[in-house]
Amino acid sequence: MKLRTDDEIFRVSPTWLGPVGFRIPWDARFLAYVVWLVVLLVILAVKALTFGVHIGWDVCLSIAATYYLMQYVDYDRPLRSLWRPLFADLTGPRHRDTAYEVAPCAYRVKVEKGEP
Amino acid sequence: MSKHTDLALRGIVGNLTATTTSVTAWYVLPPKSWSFTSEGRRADVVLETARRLSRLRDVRGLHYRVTSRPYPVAEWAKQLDATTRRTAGRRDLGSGWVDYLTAAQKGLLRQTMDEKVVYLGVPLPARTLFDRVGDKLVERGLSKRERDDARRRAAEITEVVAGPGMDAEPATVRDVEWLVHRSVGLLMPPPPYLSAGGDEPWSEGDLGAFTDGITYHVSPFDRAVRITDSRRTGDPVERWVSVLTLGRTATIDLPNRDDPWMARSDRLPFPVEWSARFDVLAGKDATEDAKRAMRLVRDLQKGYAEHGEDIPLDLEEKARRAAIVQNEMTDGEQIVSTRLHGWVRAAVSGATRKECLTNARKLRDLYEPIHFTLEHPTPGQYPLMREFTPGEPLGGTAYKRRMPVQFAASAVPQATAAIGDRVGHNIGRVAQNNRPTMFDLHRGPEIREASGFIPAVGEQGSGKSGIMGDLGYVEAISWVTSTILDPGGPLAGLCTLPELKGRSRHLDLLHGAPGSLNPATVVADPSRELFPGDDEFHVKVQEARADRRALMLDVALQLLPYQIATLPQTRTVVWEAAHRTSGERSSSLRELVDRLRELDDPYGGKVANMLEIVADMPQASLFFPQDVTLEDDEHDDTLLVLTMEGLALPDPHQPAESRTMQEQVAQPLLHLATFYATRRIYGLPKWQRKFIGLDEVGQMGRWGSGHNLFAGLARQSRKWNAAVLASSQNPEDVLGLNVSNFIDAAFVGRILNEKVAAHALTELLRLPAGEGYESVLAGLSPQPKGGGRRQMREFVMRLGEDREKVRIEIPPHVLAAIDSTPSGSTAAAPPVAVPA
Repeated sequence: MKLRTDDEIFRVSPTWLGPVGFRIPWDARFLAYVVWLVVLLVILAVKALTFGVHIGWDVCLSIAATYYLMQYVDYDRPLRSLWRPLFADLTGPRHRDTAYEVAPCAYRVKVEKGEP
Repeated sequence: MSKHTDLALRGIVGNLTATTTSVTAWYVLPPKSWSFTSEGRRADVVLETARRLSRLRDVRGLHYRVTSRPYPVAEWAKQLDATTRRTAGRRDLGSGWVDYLTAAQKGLLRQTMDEKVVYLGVPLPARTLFDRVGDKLVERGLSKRERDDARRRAAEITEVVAGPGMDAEPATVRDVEWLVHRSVGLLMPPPPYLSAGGDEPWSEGDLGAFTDGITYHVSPFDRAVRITDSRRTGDPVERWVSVLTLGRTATIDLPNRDDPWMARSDRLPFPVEWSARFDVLAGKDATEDAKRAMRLVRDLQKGYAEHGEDIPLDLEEKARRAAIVQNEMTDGEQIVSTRLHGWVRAAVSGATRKECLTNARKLRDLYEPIHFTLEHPTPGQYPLMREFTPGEPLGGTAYKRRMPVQFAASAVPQATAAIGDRVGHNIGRVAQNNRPTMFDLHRGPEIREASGFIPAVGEQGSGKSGIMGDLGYVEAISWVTSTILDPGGPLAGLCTLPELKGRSRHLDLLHGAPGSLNPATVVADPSRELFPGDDEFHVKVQEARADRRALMLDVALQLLPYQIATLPQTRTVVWEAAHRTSGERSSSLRELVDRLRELDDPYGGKVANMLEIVADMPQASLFFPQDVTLEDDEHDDTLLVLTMEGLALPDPHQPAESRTMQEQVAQPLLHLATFYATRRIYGLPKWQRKFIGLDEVGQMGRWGSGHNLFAGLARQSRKWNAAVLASSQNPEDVLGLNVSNFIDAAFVGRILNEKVAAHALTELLRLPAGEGYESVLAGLSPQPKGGGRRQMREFVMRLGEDREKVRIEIPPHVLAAIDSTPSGSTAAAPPVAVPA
């Protein structure tokens, strides 16, 4: 008997090839377009508050950022899975050499012997 | 500065752990022997486990947790000491025993010997909002209603997981506390004040021991988390921990010759902890995901077609596979349709960050040949590490695995390489994982109601004499009456060990003083201590006299030329003369000669003359003492080693009349040796422990009395509480006695001949031949690179239905004393004392 996981059938990159009749010259996932749009809007918002450069640079920057970010996003690592580890690593007081310390506390754990 | 974080855990009640939102029932999965389990049995275990898991459908957050606990060395020593004192029937075992036990404990403590413990946490239905709020406000823990409800539900789960395949047992509160403790201080050395076993109750202060002194040091985007533990007195201990998560996996075969995938990490020399959390989904609940995947594949195929491009081949394969999976989920039986979706993590540690990352790489490398990918995610090491603690939330949702229940069941984390009874002497280690092998040679007769007959077979140089010497030594040091018949002679070195001096004796059957093997002297008088009743003692005295007469009769006939000895007239006169002897220890073959002369039949005088002629020959002079000097009873010797170096045994295929004098003398010698051994078994009370070692039984089994001795011992060892270790180069020597049904434990060493190996496998190890195990036997005790002496004595040990490859470890001073190789450090010692 052969045993295998079901992961293979989920390991698909939903790629948008372009509208019918027009094949865009790159392969990018649907999600990449969404991310790019969000990144671009963030950049534009920041730019509106600070200083202005040519819009072409904003687009280039957003594409580069999206390209970088999407390297960390795939079937095994959906976009939503990135926040919790990132948050966990970044939160908390920094301590000297950029590390922070956490001391777990079990004084609230009650232990009772015998049957439940 | 540091901040404090509470554990999500709020209470432990029996085998239940509670957080504010959930209650989990914890179970311990007992270890399963795997290495030499048949493929059919392995498949059964996986399928039975899958069946059990599939009955847990709708459980969300099933938690497999693999951790370890140190071997309870002190408790083992305490138990062994108590058993030895009880069975030896004496309080003072001497300084030799104390030194031995101390050295054994030190040896065990020196090496890492953590034992794997596998827990299974099954979450019960979530706590109600009312209970959550109540617990949050007043920290009351589980209410009575919740407990009643949890107890009922836990009983249902116990019924499922306790069945064949999993054989899970509800964890004790101590088990759960140990798990929490090990999880909070992940991969930290356990503090010395926490015992891994035993029944001592925990005090209130023990609770703080979960976390007191543990600090996590987190650096963003680092691939390891530093943990310090200042629970010990002295300097705090520091460890770096990395968590890896299961990525891509390959197809695996069932049954499989390899280790189960989660147990594969046991091969590494450092500890690896596992934490796997699964949602158990009924097929219909998992179908939606598969349908979505199918739609996605079809959309992509359509997109490529619309643009007139070639459709990637793997999309069609995925679509086909998705259809199969969907079909399994909707139409398959429960065991086929049930899916487990979850996350599998493995944690490694190191004293330094570098060592930790090296260990992580080694773990990944270990799984590479079976095409399992272990990812090392970053950021997020800290929440992943916390995930190992019961009750803590999931550390991240990346690398979610979706698998049929059989695939999850094939992990078999509880598969382990372990053998032994945990109460006997430490005779070596399991080759695969260095776990100690404890073996009580008398556990078969005393507890398992099994035979004490233990064959040890293997080619020359496979270590048979070593194991014989080692087991003989541990029995003798434990004050078990031990007798070793060693034709070669090196085991006589045991008698020179200082701790056995004064209670061991070496009898060289060929090179003793004239008269040293007087048949009447070798039969001891019964001990008044053992038979305090007058009547019983009197019967035993009469039996001893009868034995002496019978022995003198046998020896006299064996010493006479074959043609004479087989005449009925000869047998009649010798018989009559033997029964006219006193039968006391002071009698001898010379007295038998005198009685022959006194017979009315003149033929007696002729036989007497012939025996006197024989007595003058140097080889036979051993049996004819000039003056009988009685020594102490041989029962005073805990260890008796009988050697016969240079003995020329008659060829059983040659006619008896063509035997040389040397061959002629060999028979009574072996007869006496057998008699010695027999007396030391059957002359003692049945309940008393005895050990008999028969080295090279192939030689001894060639004569009648030797054959009868083995067959009798093999069949009656259980009744007489005798551990009988019989070594041979050929399993046929042992199996020719038709005793294979009695064998409960066996050692099989290196065998290169495939036919012989197949015989040993089927009859001694009870493994099928022709399935590759022959190569395992051929690969035992490998020659070191560059030649030289083999340093390892490897055997496949069978104990009941368990089999494992073990490395026999012999204390160095014992090894030096019994070294049988020509270049050995010590030659066989001269006889210490010979009765004359």
